[in-house]
Amino acid sequence: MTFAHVVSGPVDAIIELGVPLTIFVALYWWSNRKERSKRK
Amino acid sequence: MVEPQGAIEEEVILPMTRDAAVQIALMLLAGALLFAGLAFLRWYRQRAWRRTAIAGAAMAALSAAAFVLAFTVAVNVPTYPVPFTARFATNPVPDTPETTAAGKATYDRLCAVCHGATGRGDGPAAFTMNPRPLDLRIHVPLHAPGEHFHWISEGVPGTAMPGWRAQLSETERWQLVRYMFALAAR
Repeated sequence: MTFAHVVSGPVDAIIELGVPLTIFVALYWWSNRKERSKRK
Repeated sequence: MVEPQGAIEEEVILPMTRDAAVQIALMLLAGALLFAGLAFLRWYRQRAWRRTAIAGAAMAALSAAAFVLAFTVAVNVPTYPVPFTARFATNPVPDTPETTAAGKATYDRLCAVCHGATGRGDGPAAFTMNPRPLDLRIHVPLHAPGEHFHWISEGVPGTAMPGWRAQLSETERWQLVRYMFALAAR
């Protein structure tokens, strides 16, 4: 069986956008959290 | 001679196409640039900027990794891009034997000459084409119904596949999509 895509259709599109977006949000949260704790 | 489609199965190492991996890499790169801009802004305003810069570097590294994967282990199944919303379009015609039969009638009349009666891409006209029609039995399940609808409607640039928007009604095109999935499931 061929798996050219992880999944096909809407979920495929959501993964292509969602993975980078999740990483971005996580890193943004991490960078702000650290900076805030540093100020204290 | 029709290309052996089975070869694609052996080449697949990463469960993702090159197109998908490149899309993820570009999104990560956009995030890295955003972080870089944010870090510069914070540095300019004399705020703490190092963590933001590290986050940007991490995204840039992930983007580079995604690019490397895309052009090394990801299988190259070129897909002509469709509008983002096309992937979310659902087939409005019911999945019934009548729909499939109507789709088959259209397929036999217009599509089989290139795609072949069984969808293998071995119709009488296929042998004169470059690139040749793909094996629908392999490629149809890899895409959303809305993507197929878009390609049927608009055609595929760079190939002999024409757009059928003017010749077929929207219902007929969706019936065709139903039949293509039925054909691939055989």
